Amino acid sequence: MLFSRITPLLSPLQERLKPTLTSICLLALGFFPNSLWSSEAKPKLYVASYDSFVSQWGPGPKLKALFEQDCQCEVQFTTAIEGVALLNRIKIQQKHFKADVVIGLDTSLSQEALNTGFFQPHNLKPSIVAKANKHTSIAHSDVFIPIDKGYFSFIYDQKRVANPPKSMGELINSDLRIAYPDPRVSTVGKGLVLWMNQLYPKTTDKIWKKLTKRTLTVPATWAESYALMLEGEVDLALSYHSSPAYHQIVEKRSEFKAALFDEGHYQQIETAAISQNSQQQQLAQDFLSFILSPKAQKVLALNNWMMPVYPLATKAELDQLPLPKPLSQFTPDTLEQESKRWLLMWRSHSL
Amino acid sequence: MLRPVVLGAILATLGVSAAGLLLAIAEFNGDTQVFSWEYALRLWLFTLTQAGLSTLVSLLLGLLIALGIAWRQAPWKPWVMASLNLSFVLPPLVVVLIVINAAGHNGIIKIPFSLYGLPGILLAHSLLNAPFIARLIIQKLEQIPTSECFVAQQLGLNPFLEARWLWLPHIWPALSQTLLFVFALCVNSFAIVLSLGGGPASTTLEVAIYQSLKYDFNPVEAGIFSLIQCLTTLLCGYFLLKRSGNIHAPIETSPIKKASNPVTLMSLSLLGGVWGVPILGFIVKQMQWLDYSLWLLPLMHSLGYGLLVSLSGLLLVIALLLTKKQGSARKAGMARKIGMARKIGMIRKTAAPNALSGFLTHMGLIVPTITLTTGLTFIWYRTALGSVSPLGLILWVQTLMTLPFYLRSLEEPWHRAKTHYGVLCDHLGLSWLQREWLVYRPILTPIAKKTLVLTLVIVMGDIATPALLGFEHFPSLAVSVSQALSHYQFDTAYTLASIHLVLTLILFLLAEKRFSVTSFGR
Repeated sequence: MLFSRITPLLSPLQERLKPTLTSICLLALGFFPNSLWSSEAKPKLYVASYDSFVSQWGPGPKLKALFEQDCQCEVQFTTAIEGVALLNRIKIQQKHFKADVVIGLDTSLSQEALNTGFFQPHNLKPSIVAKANKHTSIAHSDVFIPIDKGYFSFIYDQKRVANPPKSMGELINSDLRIAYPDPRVSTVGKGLVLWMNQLYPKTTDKIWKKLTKRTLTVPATWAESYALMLEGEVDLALSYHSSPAYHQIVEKRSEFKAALFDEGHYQQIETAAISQNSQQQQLAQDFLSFILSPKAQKVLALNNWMMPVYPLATKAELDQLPLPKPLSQFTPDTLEQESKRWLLMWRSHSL
Repeated sequence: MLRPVVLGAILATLGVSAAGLLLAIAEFNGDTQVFSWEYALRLWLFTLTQAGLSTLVSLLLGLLIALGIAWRQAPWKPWVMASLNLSFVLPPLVVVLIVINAAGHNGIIKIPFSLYGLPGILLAHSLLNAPFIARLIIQKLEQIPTSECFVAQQLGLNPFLEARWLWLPHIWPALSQTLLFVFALCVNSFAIVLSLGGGPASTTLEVAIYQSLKYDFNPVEAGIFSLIQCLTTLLCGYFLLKRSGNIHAPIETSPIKKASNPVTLMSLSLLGGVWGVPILGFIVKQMQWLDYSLWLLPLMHSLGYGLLVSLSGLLLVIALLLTKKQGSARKAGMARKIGMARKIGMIRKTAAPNALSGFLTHMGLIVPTITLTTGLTFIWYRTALGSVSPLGLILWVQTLMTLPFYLRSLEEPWHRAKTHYGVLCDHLGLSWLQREWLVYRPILTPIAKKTLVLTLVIVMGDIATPALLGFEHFPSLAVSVSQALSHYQFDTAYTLASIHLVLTLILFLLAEKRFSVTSFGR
């Protein structure tokens, strides 16, 4: 009774307050960090990786769910847009970079990563890493463990490109349009720089000039570059030889193929390592051991669309992909000495 | 007390940013692998070239649109005029997606060149700036006195001579300032160049600063590029201050002449082609909106952060204006008594912005967001602060960047209201608080509301600040669009961008139609 009498008196006030209340509600919703919703106090393992690894479409969330089933902990991801950017962030933030484990730096960055002093030996049992090291040998294996691998390849849609190039030379001299991610950000883009310097050590500068004419654009990330090929903006995009498996398994589309080059393909091996500042040493070690387990390797293969670091049955479409001809890899010393110069050469000859 | 605190906080932020840049530059040891003047020169030249060409193309497009709309009296006119303002607040990333959607490989409009590189940058910049220029030209053309038009008719001037001797003198003073403003905006353009630039060949200084810090981890290069960028924008700011006047000048329309129907039809078609078709095509293409889990949280974040930033900016500017030295109104009132000649002198004296006020009004152009953020990022990550979330810093930088919008729209009406009612208030014996609350507040509230909404729209579209300090700390709609794009989730990106576009349109309509502006505010 009383309420019904008061209501008409309040309604003008309510009308006036409505925008304010709405704003406050919006502010409140906007500002509640997700962490406030969870009340359980489990130990947290901070894992840093690149965006597409951690995104809902990448392997990150699935690995997190699997690992959290047994660890009684909470995995929290920190990201950078790409692998090289991840290392740059470590260099900028140094000891302030909050991560127990870093996933996604590849072997071309190992020496540079080691020089930051950010990483420490993983101290995993030899039996855990032996199988991976036997099939995927990497430098500084006391600090880094291999997590997946693949050969850099240009991917094309065979409905649009009837005669794909059979060699890098043929691609450079063709009239096809290509896209590749920025080598300063993406390990895939950097892979192209290494591939070119391996194939044309004396004439790389001239090759870049020629390739610039074939290049529609150099986006920051692999995903943007690959999307340009999917959207039909370019004929070929730099990715991995295993990328077509994604289209076959997930989209049931078989028109996407990797162009296999006679000269050979440069290989990428992605790694993981434990940070010097880790407050959760044991959890970090457990996570690295978990990454090398068959179930995690399978998740990586079927969500990151790379090859496992040891022979493992995943899916026929991935397991039966034709392997490109391998090209010899640069040593960590060469990479440390030359990487910067090669990147500058790419930048100055891509203008 | 309040004024020194606010000014101190602003100047301290600028100082810390400058210190960050200088610390970064100090690490330079002459190594050409770290910094190359040749590359810097190329970047600088490309920056000026794209800005110059963008301004030129925008001018030509704007002129074509304006000629068909000026002097027309039609029911659609207010809507078309309002739509010309829209371009000024559209989120750049949404513009990029609209351009790709309309003129990309699978777009509805077939263009004979690639969208990536200089052509794409010019197209997107023109899309944003041509309507803005068109609006100004329409306003100026409609302000030409009827008597001058009669004289031109009696002299039998042909269209070219009429344009040269009648139109140009009226348009040019404001247009030159607007062109300079558009040029400066294009020099500072970030999201468009980053998305459509297409690699090192089409990189501007603004984007190179970001790339140096985030891609190359080369603080030295980022610092020197920031310095060059700052000098370039300072030069633009100097010329803008020199020509300072009000771009949004008061309008008294005088329909003295009518454009022919074909010309109007052509202009409206052009406007429709430039705006309507791409925007409608963009919205219609996206049908995933019902999946609210995709966009609700980013929308809430955008509105939440945007409201906080724009309200903070408004409060800061109100604090600055309220605590500005008193007495100018009284002086102006005295001037009214003394006489016309003296009055003009006094009003000029009191109306002239002081150096600090002028700097703050043009701060967004003189100190580009990316330059300010670069210095702060360097300090932030090199100190213990780097381990905490930079969300507060992102919000503070965005708040600083809103100050010019508020100052530009509130300072002059406030001053004019004081000039107009100052003497009356003196006679009525109103206290400082009474006159601010009873006399000036009702005049300024609609302007403040309108600017608040437009600032909210602009803040929601910003990605430059979170780009350097970390996208993950700022999950707004614009950032989510950018992240979906970089995960090649094009459908998600388009859906989020459509939501962003619809929100922008709603807020824009709210600002244009709901908050009417008094004659003091125009």
